[in-house]
Amino acid sequence: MSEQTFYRQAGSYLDSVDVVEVQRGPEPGGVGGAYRAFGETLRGLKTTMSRLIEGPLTIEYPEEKTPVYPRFRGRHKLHRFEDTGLEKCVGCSLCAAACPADCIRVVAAENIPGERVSSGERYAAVYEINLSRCIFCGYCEIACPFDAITMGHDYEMADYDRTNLIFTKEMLLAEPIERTPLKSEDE
Amino acid sequence: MTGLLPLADTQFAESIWIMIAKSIVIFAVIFAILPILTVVERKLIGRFQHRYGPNRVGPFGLLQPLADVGKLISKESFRPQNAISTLFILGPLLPVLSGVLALAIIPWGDVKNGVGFYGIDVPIGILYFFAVGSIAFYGLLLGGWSSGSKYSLLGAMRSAAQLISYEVSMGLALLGVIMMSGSLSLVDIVRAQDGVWYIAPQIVGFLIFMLAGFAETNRTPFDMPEADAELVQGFMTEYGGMRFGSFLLVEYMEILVVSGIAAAMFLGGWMGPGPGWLDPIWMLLKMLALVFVFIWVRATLPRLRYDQLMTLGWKVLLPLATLNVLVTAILVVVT
Amino acid sequence: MEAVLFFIAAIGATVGAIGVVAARNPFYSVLALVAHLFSLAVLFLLLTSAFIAAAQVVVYAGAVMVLYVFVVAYVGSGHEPKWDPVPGQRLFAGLLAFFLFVEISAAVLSSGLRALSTHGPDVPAGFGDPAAIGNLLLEKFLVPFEASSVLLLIAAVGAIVLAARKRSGEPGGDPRNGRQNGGGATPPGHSAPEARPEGVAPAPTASSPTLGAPR
Repeated sequence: MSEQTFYRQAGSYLDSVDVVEVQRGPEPGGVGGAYRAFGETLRGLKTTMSRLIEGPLTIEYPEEKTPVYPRFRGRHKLHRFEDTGLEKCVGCSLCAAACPADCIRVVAAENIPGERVSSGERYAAVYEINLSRCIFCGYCEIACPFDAITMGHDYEMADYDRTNLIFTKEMLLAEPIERTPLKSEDE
Repeated sequence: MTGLLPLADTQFAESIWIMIAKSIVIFAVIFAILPILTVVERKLIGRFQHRYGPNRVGPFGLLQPLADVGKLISKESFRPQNAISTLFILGPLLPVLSGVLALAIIPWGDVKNGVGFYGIDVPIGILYFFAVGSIAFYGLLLGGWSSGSKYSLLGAMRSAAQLISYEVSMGLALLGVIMMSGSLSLVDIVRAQDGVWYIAPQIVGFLIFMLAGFAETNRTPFDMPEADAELVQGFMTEYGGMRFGSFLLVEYMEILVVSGIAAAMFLGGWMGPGPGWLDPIWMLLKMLALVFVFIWVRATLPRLRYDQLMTLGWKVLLPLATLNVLVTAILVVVT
Repeated sequence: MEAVLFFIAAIGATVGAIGVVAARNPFYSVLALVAHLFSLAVLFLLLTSAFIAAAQVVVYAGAVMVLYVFVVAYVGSGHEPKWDPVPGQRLFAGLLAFFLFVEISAAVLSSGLRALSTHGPDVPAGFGDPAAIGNLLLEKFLVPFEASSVLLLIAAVGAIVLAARKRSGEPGGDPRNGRQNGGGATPPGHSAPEARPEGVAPAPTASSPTLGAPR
């Protein structure tokens, strides 16, 4: 397309679009302008004063925390069966395959009949999530056929050392300290 | 001593010990208020924006100024390589001097038991305030010029133009009050407001004075000399440590002085219900109310553009102030 | 106390005055002048004329010198040449200063310095306060006072006219120049300063640099 035809087409397109009337305020300056500026100043003062009366809306974070929604995707949890106490994870590595950030590492091992770890044939001998890479997308939760891994509500995972952010199976299995309040029904 | 400092009330002279005691008391009170003012301003600005403001250091964040000053003192008093050292050091000192000198004429109460509740009562009264205020300007200018930085120079030049422009309107705004009371002495002016405060007949003068006061103290909406968006910090760009701190502290001192003058000239000074010993409290309360207005305006208005500043000063405030003076003069002569 | 203050102020005034002419950097000259004016204000204060002292500081140190500083700081502090372009200028200035010194010395010494041992004239109560000065200005010296105010007004108007004409002359806004410039003979704005409008007195040179110079 040559330049000319492009502009012709663009021109016809622009003609067909409704012309938007630009809303302009009155001209600044003059006695009227000074009067309006004074009035607007008073209006601004009123606005800020009403903010002062309303009081702060700040949530003072370390002391009080924003409640999260039930489906909030925080730190992962691994689960056990409540009755038998066996791990739900069978070491299938589907979560690791689904993970877009490639932060899950699973090494599976065969269950020995006497000392079963999981309910399936195999179990996860090593299950690590590198939370410094995790993007909290929740694909692992969706990929898991046994609901062995779910996303929790904990979002306070800051640490001074990156190695501390590699969560092992034991850490993920342990019941997380419920530090985060949950939103109530009506919120 | 009286030969050196001609007082408005010539029959009334205090002993030098009383004068020293008075100056110490005024100093102590003002310098106790100043740091609190910094934290109060930050807290109020926060509240104006739905925030809390500083509340970490001490109860309600009241020890914040202590932490700030501690930080500023512990910092190096840096001097840029191409700054002129003597002038650079002199820069922050002059505004402090000017602020302290101006504090002297704020009246805190009437003469009681032979002691005037004010620093000094000079017959030139309000002229003293303007004379002393012009010293502060040289502080800004020396600081800005000797820093050897373009931001500092631009900030200093802006403050020069701004101070000249608004000093005229400021003086004219006060002229109405002076004509009505027939005296330049602040103490006499407050005494003349026994019935009606001058804010009622001189509302135009009061508004112009406050507007010019914002400009004189380099506060938003007129904080052109230190416009941090375009000039980094204006004339104090190159300053650090306690030198920067003194510039900052002086700003609050100037706010207090301007509020004090406005309270004395328009809001009836120490007048208020209650026994006589409440007078200084009333004065302080009125001053703090005006300081609140300063903070309120800062939380509300954006900075003016430079040409708007000049237009406002010369084309709006100056004619208005002149008109106010004219009308007041006619009314004073007629009645 | 007063004697100590007098000598401090007198030394300050003298040093400031010397600094104005001795400093190579114009900015320092201006600052020296400011110091001189402040010292002078203290001297006025010692003469029980607080009003004059305040006026001195407000008008000269607070306004006039601010404009000087403004211009000097903007234009920049180019160092002046060590020797002046006009030959014999320094010699002439020195001679003039010497004759002035001789004249003043003669005048002072001829009075015999009798007043040194007295306490000076008695001043009436309220001498030099704003009310007294106001009365003098509006009663005894009304005509000179009003005349000088008219003069100042003319100066201000003249300065504004000069500054405004220069600006309007640049794009050929001045009608007379505009017609001439039609042929392209003279560049616009060059001929503007020569032409004076009728009926407006030329502004005194003292005020035009302050208002008209920056552009």
